[in-house]
Amino acid sequence: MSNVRLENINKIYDNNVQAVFDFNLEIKDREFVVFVGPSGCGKTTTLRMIAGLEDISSGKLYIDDEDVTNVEAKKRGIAMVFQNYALYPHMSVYQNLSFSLENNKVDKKAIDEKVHETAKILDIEEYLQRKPKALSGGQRQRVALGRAIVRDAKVYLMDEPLSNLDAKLRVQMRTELIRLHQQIGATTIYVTHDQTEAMTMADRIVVMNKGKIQQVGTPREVYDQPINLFVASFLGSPQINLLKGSYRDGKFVLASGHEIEVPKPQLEKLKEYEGKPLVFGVRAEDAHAIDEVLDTYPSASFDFEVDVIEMLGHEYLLYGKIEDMDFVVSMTKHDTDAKQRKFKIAFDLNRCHIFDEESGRNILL
Amino acid sequence: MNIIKDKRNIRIRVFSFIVLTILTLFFVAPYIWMLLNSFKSTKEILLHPTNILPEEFTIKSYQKVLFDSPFVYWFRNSLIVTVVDTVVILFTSSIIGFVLSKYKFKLNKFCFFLILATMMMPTTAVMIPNFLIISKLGWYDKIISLIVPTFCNAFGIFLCKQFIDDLPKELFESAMLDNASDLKIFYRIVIPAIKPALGSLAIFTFLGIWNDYQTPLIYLNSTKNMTLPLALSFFNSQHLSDLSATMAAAALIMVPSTVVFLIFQKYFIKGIAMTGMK
Repeated sequence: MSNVRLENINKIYDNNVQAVFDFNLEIKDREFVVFVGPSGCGKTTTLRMIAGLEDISSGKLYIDDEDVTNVEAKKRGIAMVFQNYALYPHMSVYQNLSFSLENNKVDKKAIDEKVHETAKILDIEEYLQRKPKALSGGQRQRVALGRAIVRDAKVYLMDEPLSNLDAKLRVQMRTELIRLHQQIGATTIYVTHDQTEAMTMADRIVVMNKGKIQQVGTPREVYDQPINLFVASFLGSPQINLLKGSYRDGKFVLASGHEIEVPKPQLEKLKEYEGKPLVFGVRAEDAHAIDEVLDTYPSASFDFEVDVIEMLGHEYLLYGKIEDMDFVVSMTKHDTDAKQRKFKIAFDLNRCHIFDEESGRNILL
Repeated sequence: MNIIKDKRNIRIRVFSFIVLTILTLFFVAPYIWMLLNSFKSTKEILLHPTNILPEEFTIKSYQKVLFDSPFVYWFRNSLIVTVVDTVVILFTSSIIGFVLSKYKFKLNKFCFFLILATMMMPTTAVMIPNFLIISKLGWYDKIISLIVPTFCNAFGIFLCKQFIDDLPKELFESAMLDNASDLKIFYRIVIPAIKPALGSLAIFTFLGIWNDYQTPLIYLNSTKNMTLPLALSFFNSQHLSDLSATMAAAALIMVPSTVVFLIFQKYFIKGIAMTGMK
């Protein structure tokens, strides 16, 4: 069992700058949790507090129900993969992998077995006698992972381990990491600013901004039911379309004056927001040109004028305007409307969101 | 176009080669002249000073230096002082540099400032106080007076600290998470990583101590306890002037420093580039 529990964790630096505010989270055994957010949101600081590389200003940290708040980093049973791998440059791959085992006074034969076993899992057996400078980026990354795996740690911490790789290798290594996690089954906390990594790898995502947790949930939950404007904007590529307006008499009135009929199940939640500034959010893939949607939601249909078309292979991204407001629509390559410069689109209102402009809160949740 | 470019390149390379050859001869010439004179007799040096090659090739001056003078003792004294001091300075500089770089404590910056401040002190200003201390300790005319006072070197500490500062902190954090003790981090991680700094420090220190004339002049008196630079005056005093022997002694003195330079020269060049100092 290797669960991790963070209770009311705060981080305040000597210059009184607070980097993490009241962080509460419980991570179950064998779970792959991803901390995601923009640069400076506190995700790496939180990871380093879990590792013991940063002091916890207040709050408690538990690993396997044991209070490790003031326990030294080396005694927490943590293994960490750093962003720049932190391989020992003058040691061979073998020595890099065996270093921690030597320090823990493990028997030489056992070290050799463990190193070879780990190298086999990561497919780096043939590089064991090489130095890190003779390895490619992907190989170094595997060695960094190997250093963590060889220790049989309780918890694995990864601080943006894929950020130094090229795009193609990143995709390949993402799959490798998921496969490894399934194979080894260790509790893993992964930090990234890349929402694609978060969405594809996590059992649960922790979205952070300005030192605070915004939302915790499965990738599907945080994507389909974003708790606020920040989460909705941060996750999803292309970014969610946001249209300003207000609610009046059962209709969402856009800044252009266009009125969208709000579905009946949502009316109750909007009552207290009559006349207040709101933001209507619709993802690119939830705007359709097909008749079925156009007929179902006539009030949510618009003339879409295409400015720029991005062909991504399996889909098109169409950047244009509806009623003088910037808008992006995603369409598959099989949709013939993708080639036209002006056509009608309609929003799937069951998948749209309405946010309070002042607080950013998703009113419909 | 390519042919013209190639011809121009060849001309530049030939010109560079000629200039560099002339400059090399200019710098190396005194050493070659000294070496050639060491194989001449003093009479020949005085009578035919412009001769480059010896008229009568002789190794008598080398015999005189090696067998008729306590050269072996001088060489031993110089070697002990230089080797011991170099090794100790490498150790003290690297470990103090490591502590100042990686440990957070209240007086860290102040300590570093104090160490640097000692570099501003001119040696002539501390000559007398140092001599009084050496005297009181009973170390006058003993080679220990040359060894112990130079155990710590401010420049060495500065050089090592700067190098260690540049090492990524993740390297240390990773070693810490790997359950390495501080001492293990020092000799398994830091020392191999700062080899260029240590190499150039070794060469600066070795050459500086090997060629030091002033300190032995102050602290040593008896002939047998002298170091080599001091001993050169043995052959060229007001009562005795054996130029040939002086040249032979100088040639012999140069051998260890030449060997050390050849071994560590790549670090030496890196060291000059790093420090911006000669």
